[in-house]
Amino acid sequence: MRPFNREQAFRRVLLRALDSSLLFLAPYFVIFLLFKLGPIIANFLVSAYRLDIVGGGEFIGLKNYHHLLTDRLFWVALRNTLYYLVLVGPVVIIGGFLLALLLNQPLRGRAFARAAVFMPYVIMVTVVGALWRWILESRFGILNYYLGLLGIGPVYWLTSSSTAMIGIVIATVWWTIGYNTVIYLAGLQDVPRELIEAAEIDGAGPLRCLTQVIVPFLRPTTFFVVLTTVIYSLQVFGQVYTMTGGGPRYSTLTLVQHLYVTGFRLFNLGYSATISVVLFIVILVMSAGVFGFLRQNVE
Amino acid sequence: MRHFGRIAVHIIIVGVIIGTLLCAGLVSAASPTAIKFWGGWTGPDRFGMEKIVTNFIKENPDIRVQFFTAPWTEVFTKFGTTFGTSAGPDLLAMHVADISQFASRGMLLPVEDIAAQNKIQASDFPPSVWQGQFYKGRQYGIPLDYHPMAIYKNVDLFKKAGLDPNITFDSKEEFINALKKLTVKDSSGKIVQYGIAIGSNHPHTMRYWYSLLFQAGGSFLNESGTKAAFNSEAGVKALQFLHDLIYTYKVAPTHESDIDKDFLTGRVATLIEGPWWVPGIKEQKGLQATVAPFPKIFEKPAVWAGSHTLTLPKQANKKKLDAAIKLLNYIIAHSVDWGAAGQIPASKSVIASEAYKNLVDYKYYKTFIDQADTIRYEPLMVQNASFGSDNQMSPVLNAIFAVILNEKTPKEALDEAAEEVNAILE
Amino acid sequence: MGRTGLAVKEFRTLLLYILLGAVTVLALAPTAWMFSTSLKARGAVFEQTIRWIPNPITLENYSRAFSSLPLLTWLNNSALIAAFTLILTLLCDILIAFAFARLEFRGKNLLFMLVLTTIMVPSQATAVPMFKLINWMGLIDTKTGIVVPQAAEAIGVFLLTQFFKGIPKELGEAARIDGCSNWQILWKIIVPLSGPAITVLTILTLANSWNNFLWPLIVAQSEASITLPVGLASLMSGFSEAAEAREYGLLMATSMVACLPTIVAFLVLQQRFIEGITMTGLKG
Repeated sequence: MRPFNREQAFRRVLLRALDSSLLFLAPYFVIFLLFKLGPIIANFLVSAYRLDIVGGGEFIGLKNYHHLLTDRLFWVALRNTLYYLVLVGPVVIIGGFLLALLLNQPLRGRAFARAAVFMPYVIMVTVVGALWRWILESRFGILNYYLGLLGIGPVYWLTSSSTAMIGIVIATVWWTIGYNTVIYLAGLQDVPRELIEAAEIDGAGPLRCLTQVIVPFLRPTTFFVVLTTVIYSLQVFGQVYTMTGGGPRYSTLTLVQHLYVTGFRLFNLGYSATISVVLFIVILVMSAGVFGFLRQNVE
Repeated sequence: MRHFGRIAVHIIIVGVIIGTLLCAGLVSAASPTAIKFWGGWTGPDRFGMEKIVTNFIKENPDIRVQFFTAPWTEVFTKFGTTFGTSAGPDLLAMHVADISQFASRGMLLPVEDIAAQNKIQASDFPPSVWQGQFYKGRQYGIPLDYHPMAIYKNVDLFKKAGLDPNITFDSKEEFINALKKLTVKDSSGKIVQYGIAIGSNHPHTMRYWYSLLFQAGGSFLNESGTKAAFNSEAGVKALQFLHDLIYTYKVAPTHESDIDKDFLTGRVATLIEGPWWVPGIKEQKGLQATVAPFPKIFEKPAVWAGSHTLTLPKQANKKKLDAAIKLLNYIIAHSVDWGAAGQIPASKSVIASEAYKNLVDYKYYKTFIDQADTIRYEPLMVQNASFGSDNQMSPVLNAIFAVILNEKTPKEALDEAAEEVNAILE
Repeated sequence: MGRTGLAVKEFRTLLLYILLGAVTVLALAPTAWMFSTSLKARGAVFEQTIRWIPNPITLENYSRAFSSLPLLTWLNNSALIAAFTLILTLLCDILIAFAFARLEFRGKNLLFMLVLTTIMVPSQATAVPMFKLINWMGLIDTKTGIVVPQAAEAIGVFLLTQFFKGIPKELGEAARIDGCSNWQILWKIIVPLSGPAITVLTILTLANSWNNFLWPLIVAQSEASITLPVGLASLMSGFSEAAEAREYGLLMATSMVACLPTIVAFLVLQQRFIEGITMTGLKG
């Protein structure tokens, strides 16, 4: 029997306290509660207030939501955001897949090509904006120069409201397509050789092999790619902020740009939060849509 | 025992990391009299203000001034997000039209006392400038300058076209004829030089229209300031004229994105800009320019103008406030230096002083000063932040762009904008 | 296989090489053009004919970028913020991932799900309450105000938890019988075995912090905290009247400086980068 030792007992208690799960959880959880979960919940509350950049707020119930209905710019922004998604989505998804197929061929120099295709993705958005403003410049831009050689143009990319969004889309495709390509490349690695060989023995040409073996096999990958593309496209901001500032004539005004201007230029924070609630809901609905659609297709 | 020690060490390390992280943020540079002075001058005039501030620091070694300038909308965004924190400005410049926006939020200090100390009186200023300093009966700004637009002319290109570079434009026909002569085609029929540039994504385009609106006898809002009045016949006529310069007379390029550079490089022969452009013109090698009043196109002369004013953001730190007031006084006392940077001093006595008249560029500035009686300011009201020419999302500005881009008719565009302005005014 | 079969195959290969070449050129051309422009003299930037190799080559834009812009301060802020974010993220994520993977406590699964679902909520959508919070805490225009919220992102927790779960449980149990505390198991067994996952998280955290835009745009207001992306944006916000917005030589030089660190890091750590992307699906 050990004699009772106060010091040792104290240490044991302390040790156990130090070893409890709570201490492992605490650091992240405190930050998570304060800076993630708290703001998510608070955002819904704020959207029910008239809240200015200075001073406290005033509870106004659903008035901010009512204002949404008559705010022309909100609808313009919503439409533009969806338009952007419709333009960018197919290109980076299908294009990413085709690029992955190409880069998966046993060709010399493909490692270099892979790196080249992915590299733009690590460049920061403001650099992408600056660079493409310069490339798309209507008089001295390099794109119009080459289009001119083909007898096209000049196209007033970012100064005309019919083409500004397309300019943004071109920049974005260059910037992000490598991301989807990499995901698809990883997926292609997992396609079992036997499956392809079996199909070939059945007499399937490369095209049938692609549509009947590879594409179905990659469905989970496609699901992931579509989901992330949708979610991130709906949040487009940096390119617009640096390339057009939402213009000309609101033609590139997106939801996040609208909530930024409303909240931090016009200081209407309550209404800005309302727009972000809508953004949140749109993302949720669209994700659920992707989820449902692709799942249905699997079954 | 050993374990315990090691755990303790881990915890201490973690604690220290988190601690330093928090401290690094909380303890910001807090030298007792470091103050921030913010403005939105991005043209050549910014160097003039920089010089004044540098001189002030030399004469007041006990005060450190951080001078910061960026486009106005960005400065106001920053002012909003930093208000009430030590990161905010201690002295802030703005346009008179912006005072109500911030005064109504209680973000500015009344400055009657400072005005009185400096013997700054209503009688020394154009009434419109002076009235702009007030919101609900209290004075919030010390007027610094005003800046109407005028037209700059490239002397060489005028001579080549057989035009007198000292010409003033007193009628629509005269103006268009000159611009036509200044529009030059090369042998293949491609236009290589235009008469004038009208930006298709530039806030100044609204200012051109604003001037013409009043020239045609229109006004922006109704008399009580409760409804839009710009979608009148006058407004349509003014906008149609700008449109016609591009598409009917073809003396201005379409989709113009850089009016300033095009003037500096001789692609366009004239440029409508403010007085802050005078020093810039002089810097451009090989470019000779003269200035004439804003062209008179319609019945009576009128020209858009803005006015800069100095304000004191509300703050708790008395020491900083005193230092900011000291800087404010210094800038007012050195109005002539500011005048030399291109802006027209608001004070009549400064303009009349020998020191100002002796400035090298006075001959240019005189053109701007002589327009004083025809100046039109944007409405001095809180809502102007939403529909003024400085807000990129302004419905009026975008209506004008729609016409400049040939996407809507002037009537359509202005009616739509009027509806939105009315909604904002409600 | 007949001769025509061979010809078809050769033709196909040739076609693939042409495609591969085209794709590579298209992917690299914009960056190359940025580099080329950054080396041009002021007058040579705006020319009607396109010159890929500047004549003369000059570093004038770079020296101007460093002398007329607070580029070093921005670089410094970006680097410090990325480093602090990394330290805080690793610390928090490793601890909680260990708890999720190895410890038993009430509500564990619920908590884990809660953390995971927040991955779906874009940080854009909470800008307003975050701003009010940071403002209230007095962290506007501080590096801390930019760092801490980034550490709340849940993706690293997910990544590490999954990885820790993959480490055989027996390894820990044996140590526990030897009297090791959880801390020792974590630092001595789990962390040393998690090199790949921690490397991936490190790379992604650094890259994301370096490239982060909207939140620093709201928080950073002066040289005390302005990062590269925000500083760069201030030169050319789409509508600005500032002449710098059109000085493409200077803009491209600044851009080169801003993206060079990530490009070099990517070229060196290519494999890890791509691993990270495929493991987490993290997108900037």
